[in-house]
Amino acid sequence: MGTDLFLAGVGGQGTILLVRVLLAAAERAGLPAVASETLGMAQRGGSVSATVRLGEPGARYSPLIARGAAQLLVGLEPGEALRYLDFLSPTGTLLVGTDGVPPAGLNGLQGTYPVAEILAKLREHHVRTHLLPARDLARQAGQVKAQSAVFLGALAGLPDWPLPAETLLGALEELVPAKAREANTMAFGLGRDYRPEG
Amino acid sequence: MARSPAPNERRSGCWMSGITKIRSGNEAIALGAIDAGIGVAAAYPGTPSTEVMESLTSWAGSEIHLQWSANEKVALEVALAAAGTGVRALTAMKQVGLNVALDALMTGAYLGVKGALVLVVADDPGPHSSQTEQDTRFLAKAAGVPVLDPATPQQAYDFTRLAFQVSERFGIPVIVRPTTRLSHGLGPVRRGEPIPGTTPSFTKDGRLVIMPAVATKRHGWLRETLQELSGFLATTDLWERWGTGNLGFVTSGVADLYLREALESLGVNARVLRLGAVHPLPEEPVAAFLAEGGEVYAIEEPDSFLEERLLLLKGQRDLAVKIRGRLSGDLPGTGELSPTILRQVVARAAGQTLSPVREPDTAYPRPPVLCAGCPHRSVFYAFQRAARGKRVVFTGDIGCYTLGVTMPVPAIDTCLCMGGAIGMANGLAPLLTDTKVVAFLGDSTFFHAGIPGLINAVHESYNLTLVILDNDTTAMTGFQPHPGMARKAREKTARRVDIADLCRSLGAEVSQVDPRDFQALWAEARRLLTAKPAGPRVLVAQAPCVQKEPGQVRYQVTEACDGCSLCVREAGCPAITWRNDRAFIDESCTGCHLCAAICPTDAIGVLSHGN
Repeated sequence: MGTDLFLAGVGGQGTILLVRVLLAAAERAGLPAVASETLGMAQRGGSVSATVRLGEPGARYSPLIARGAAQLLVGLEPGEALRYLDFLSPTGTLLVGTDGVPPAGLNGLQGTYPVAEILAKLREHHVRTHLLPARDLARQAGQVKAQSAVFLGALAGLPDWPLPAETLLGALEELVPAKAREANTMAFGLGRDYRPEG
Repeated sequence: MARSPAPNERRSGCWMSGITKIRSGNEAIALGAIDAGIGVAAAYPGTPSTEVMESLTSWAGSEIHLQWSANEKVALEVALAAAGTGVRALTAMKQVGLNVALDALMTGAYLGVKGALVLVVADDPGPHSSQTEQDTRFLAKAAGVPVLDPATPQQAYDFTRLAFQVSERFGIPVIVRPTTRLSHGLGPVRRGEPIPGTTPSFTKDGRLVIMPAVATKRHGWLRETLQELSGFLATTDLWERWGTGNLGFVTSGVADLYLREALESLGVNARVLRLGAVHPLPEEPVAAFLAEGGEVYAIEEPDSFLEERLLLLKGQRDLAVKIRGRLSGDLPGTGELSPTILRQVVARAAGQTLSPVREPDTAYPRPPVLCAGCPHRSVFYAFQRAARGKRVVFTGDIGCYTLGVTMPVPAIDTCLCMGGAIGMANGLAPLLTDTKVVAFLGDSTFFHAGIPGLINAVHESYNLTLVILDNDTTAMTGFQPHPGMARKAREKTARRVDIADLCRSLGAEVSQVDPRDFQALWAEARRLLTAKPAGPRVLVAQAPCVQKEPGQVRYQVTEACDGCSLCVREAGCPAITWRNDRAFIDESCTGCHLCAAICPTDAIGVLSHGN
């Protein structure tokens, strides 16, 4: 049984880097994999979504995943996780960042972006939800941009995760610029070791 | 039930092999072209095809001549000419780009090629980022050009190589048609042995001159060639039949993969005919498949091309089979297909009921907006403000600046196609004599399609304003070069075509402004909207794209802010939000100065290092 992941975020959060690291790690581990990237108008503040299918049977087919069929939903942004929650299997796992990025128009004057409500909605609708304060952890590691590394670490820490953590880390270190390597490695570790309070 | 041989594993899945690498569909096409020995590639950017040429600029050897052309028609003419010298040529474009190049293609198909010519035309079912979700296969059929329809990156590589072989053997251009989900999909690709390119030579035999009498002969040649090709395609492994059953599916493109997954996950028995060549059809295998009777679904996107071919074949050969697809209402008529939709189609076809799945949550839309600090925002704002209390129509066009429509007050009133802003302005100006007509065109768009419209306006003495938003790049598609820039596909120097000089030489009254100087911009906007009509006027607004050249300062809101909220309400910049009854500027600010310029209380200033 393979692992089908649906990923969602906002342009600039590193969703695509995450996809490329997962694919590189799969190649190294000899695990069949396919992926899709919906680039949309990511740079113009739009949604970014992607799918990665690790192992068979998923990797035998198209990279797209049917609604309700993904084992994992990685939401780098809570509103985006909510937007694509229908792709997650009821028995799957939701890994979601707790830092909201308000869409244009919800700028605080013409409406607010209720991150706490969105997170509550996610937990209410889905049993297996892991909240990840990815931005804080990335900041601790020395680079706010290293958020996707935090998510990679968190994935490596999940039960039944099909790729060895060292392989993920190796692929990550190869794909980030040399000066960002240290911060990303640390961010990976923080994501992997993160346990919510209480 | 026998499992289908999924395309991803046809290359005997040696995942550990060093030669198999994960590539995107577009990358795979570029590699296929390189290994097929191309000598020339010319393209115009357009999502989802852009990465084909971008990959070529990264990987093609220096002996291959690469060009980002002014538009798709020029690109195709470049490639046709190259193919006329015996060289193998490639051109790449998105589906609406084929609309631009179609004139050259229709004649090019009659004239044929000496070397080889492959057009990569990417369809965009949905659409995700196009003006239409038109189906290239219909245009290809109209032109008499074969179409190969790959489903996976491996097929994208293989079909590109095959397309060059077919083109060379039969002397016709061939279209390879990826769709968005293949172009931007990633999967394993194993390359074959590369072959060397050919040497160009021009023979003065007149074979490239079209004349009416020649056209009749060549039309005959084209028809015969397509018939011959149909027979040839039946002997290749471009089509594949598997499974058994009264229920049948004819598939092409990525939808084949959705179908396979649906059949296997639902445990449904069916016979399937996958077509890698969709025009001309390998007629005999398709007819034989239909002749088995029962119900046959055409699974394809974005439109009912195959379904219509099947209905035609059924009628011609009087076959007892029911054909289903979009026309029959068994597939959705619009929008892209997906694994979810194919599950529903297969379940219904097999008489199964699916358990309900959760509906999507659409609570917080995230529309794309102009980047923080984009110079287009300043231009749009200045003109909107200058237009208050006046009758003004703003025509828009294709590019980042189309996002003017998502500003707090929509900055454009029309958007049709490349160059449509100036073309439509030519239509509105003489009719709406009590209204100012202002057209917005980007720099790349201007070179692509804007010049004839301006020439028309000068010749007709139309009273209109053309604002050229010159950010020195083709931004929306990923910063490709265009003729106004001092760089080319693989060279950091190039001769620039100066936009202001060109417009002046055409006879328009031209002024130039830097949008980062809001006072100057505001003065120009007011002047142009109040000036006495005197033929076409051009304003070239020049400031680099902030993604390429971010500003050097950041702005901040000071204590002087009195909470009037004008900046938040009117500028629509994503860097400005409302916190604690004051405006707040975050670190995504790139220093365009617009908010500082429009603040009525001068409460916005440069953030100095000490703060």
